[in-house]
Amino acid sequence: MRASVAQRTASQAGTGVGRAEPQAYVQRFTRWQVVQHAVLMVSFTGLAVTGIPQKYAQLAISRWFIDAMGGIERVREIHHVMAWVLLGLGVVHALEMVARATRYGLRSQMWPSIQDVRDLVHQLRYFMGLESEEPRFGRYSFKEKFEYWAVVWGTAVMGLTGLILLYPETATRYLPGVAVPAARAAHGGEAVLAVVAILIWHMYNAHLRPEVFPMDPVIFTGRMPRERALREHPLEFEPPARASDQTSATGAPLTSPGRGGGPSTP
Amino acid sequence: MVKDRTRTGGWARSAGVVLLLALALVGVRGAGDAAAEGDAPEEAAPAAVSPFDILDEASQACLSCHEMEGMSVIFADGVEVDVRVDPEVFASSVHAQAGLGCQTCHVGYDEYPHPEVTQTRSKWVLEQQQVCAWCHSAGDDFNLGVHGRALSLGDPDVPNCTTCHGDAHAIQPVSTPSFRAGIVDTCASCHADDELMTAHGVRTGTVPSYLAEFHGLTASLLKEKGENIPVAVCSDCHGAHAILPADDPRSSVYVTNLPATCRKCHPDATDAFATAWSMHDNPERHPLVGGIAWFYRIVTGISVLGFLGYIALERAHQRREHTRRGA
Repeated sequence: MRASVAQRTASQAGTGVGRAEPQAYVQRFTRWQVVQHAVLMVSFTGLAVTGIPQKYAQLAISRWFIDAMGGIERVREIHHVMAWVLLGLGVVHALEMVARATRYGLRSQMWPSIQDVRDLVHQLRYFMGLESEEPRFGRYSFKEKFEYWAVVWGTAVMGLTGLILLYPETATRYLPGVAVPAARAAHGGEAVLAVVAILIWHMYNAHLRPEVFPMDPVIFTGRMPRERALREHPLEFEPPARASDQTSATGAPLTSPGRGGGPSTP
Repeated sequence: MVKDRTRTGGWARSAGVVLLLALALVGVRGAGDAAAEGDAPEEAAPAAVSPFDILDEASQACLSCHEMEGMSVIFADGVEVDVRVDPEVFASSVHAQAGLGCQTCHVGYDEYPHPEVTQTRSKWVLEQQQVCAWCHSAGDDFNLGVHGRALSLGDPDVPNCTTCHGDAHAIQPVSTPSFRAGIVDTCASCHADDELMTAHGVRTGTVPSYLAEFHGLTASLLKEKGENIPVAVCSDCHGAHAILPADDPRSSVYVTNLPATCRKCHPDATDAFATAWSMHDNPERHPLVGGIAWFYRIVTGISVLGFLGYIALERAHQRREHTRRGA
């Protein structure tokens, strides 16, 4: 599980074994990462479906929907159960990252870097015809890093503010009273931001783009066709340009399934 | 049941199927009943076979005329009031159920023709308050409160007993879920009227601000279902009879009394907890809350534009590529 297929084929290539038949797929996500995404998907959807009508409860359609789900008290119960699931996932993920950091250090291919900004500008310039070549990404492109960190930030904000709203008596033992309406404003604001990001950005990138329509299965199967991986994440399979480049494929990634893709010779 | 089926074969199996069908039917009917209950909550006391059965003879005599439509009395100030009493409604009221008859309250009306009405309507209402107080000591509290004081000064707009509790002939116990569910609407019938409130120097906007926060939102969602409302309604914080303005130090919602009022429902509430409540103000008036709300409005707006802009550029590029390759 620890070594990716890319790494395996790389080592095989190094020893001259299996060189004649490079495997058709690379392992992009571990089974555990696939499970994490599934739990996130289910809990997020449950939270959004039960939460957004509460934020817009003055609308007739929200009231109808809340009734259809069994009334406000049932809706809140579901919301709280889903919230504990997502909070549990967040805590487990955070502990895992801390464990990895203590074991391998803080280097990760998921950290945002100035290169991501350059890649974004490059990508936009390419769309506008100002660049002849598309930007070349490593294991995680700026889009994927953006979504990952948006989820990390969003889960932290929603979890913290949600706990304040769920336990206002306890929260105001340590915080001023204004923390409660502030948490309510942040919880609702972040919720809409997250839902909008999923409905527009994630739906487009994971479902509606012609390249992946009707859906990109990689996060469910964990594996990506080798040919696509080489096209979309070429730098993952090339030797690092600079040793200090933390987005390169060497080092000890915090969030990649293995110890990085490593050089590969398809 | 599984055991039975394997032992006795086909007979038990068909019995099982019948039983399951019956259960399904009961389930469907039960769901239907539950839905119907939600639409029309029924918590009135069981009605007697004939409404007259539980009433004393004198009351029956009164109702033999007063059950007729179109009866009214004209007060000295010209106000005309319908004096019809629906016998069924009265018989199911908490007063009739407790054995009260017409004469209990309407003293001196045991002869016909009735004594002439010489008071104004408002004077008469004031007198009726005293009638309630014959039995109900809540009247003392009421007289201390802002409503009672204004009533005693002759303000025609302030509520009296029946404004909130309903017609004395139809009165229901305050312990019924439907009474509790109606409290917000009862207060709102005057307090949501900005013109009326301004005319009396009373703060406006208190009802919408309540409905926008957690208690009010929950109460408004539950009230239509006739369920008991487990969150604070107006009277839980402000009291019912001896209601005092929030700037009166004896008021339950006076700033230093507020924590104790919160603790009626939130036993662990600290003093800081009470300051979580915006005091019927828009919470966004606090710079932190307003700042967060505006932060998210701006960030969400920029994000949507950013997402759509990126997608538009990518789609436009790919369409150009497509036509270029096609050509």
